[in-house]
Amino acid sequence: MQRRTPIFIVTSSRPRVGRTLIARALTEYFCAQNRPVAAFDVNPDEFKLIDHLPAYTAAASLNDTRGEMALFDQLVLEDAVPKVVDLSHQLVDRFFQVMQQIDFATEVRRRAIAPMVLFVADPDERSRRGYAMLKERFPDLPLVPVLNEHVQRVGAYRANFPPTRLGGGPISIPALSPVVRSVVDRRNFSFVGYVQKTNDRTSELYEWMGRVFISFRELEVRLLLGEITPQLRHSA
Amino acid sequence: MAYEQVEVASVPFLKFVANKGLQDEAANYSFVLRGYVRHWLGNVWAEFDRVKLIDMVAPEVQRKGAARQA
Repeated sequence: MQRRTPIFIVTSSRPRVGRTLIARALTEYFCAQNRPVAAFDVNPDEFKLIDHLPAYTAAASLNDTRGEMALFDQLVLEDAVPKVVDLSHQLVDRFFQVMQQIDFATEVRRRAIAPMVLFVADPDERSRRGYAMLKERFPDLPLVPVLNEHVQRVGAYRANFPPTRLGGGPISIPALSPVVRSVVDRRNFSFVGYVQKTNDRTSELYEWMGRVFISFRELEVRLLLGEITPQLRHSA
Repeated sequence: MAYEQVEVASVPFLKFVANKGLQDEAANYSFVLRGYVRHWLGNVWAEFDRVKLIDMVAPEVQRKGAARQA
């Protein structure tokens, strides 16, 4: 069976919730396995993902049709290259509006493509509404809440982000200490580079990467289950 | 821009949406532009239906068609 090409759309309704960090880690998760990956930095003002991973990332814009073509025409390619989209909170509405207008959902069903939205949660009411909007408007799109423990009190608001039929329950991203976070935020820092250099498998960062990469592996399994479940139903 | 590209391709709207050339050969139009054209066509046809355009331009044809079905 041919595996579908996954697209991970990492987004949020609020800034400073660790969205780009998660997109970076996800991109490097594929690099760590020597798998090809293509990332897209969809931010109106500042491009952060492309600063960290210039070799794998393209800047994308939704300002005009040309920009939309450059992004969505790449996303619908059945090239078996996983795609990671770092979608700014300012462009969430526009992105999903374009997606609806061009009937992206039908096209990905027709092609061997499996999109998944990773919604980075936070306690703000706008975040709850944004998640509910995506859940309601795109019931056929796997939507996964991401609880970044770096965001204060996010665990207490878990009920605002209920599991979805196709995406499943939330995944958790452990918080990094401020010192480690300052290292990770350096422009030339690479997770894969760090693992290749370090011998200390008990370090905070190494353990953090282990936990986060296991969560990403679980997301891939969820996508795979989404592929095979209809066939299992059919054969039962 | 989508309209421009349909003009450049010199094909009917439906062939553009279906990603086909004039002789039904496979084409390589932008997925985004095809989506916009499909969306626009849907809106235009919905408006035609709303004002009952067929009844306006060909009431005779409609009547004959209905009579044949009866």
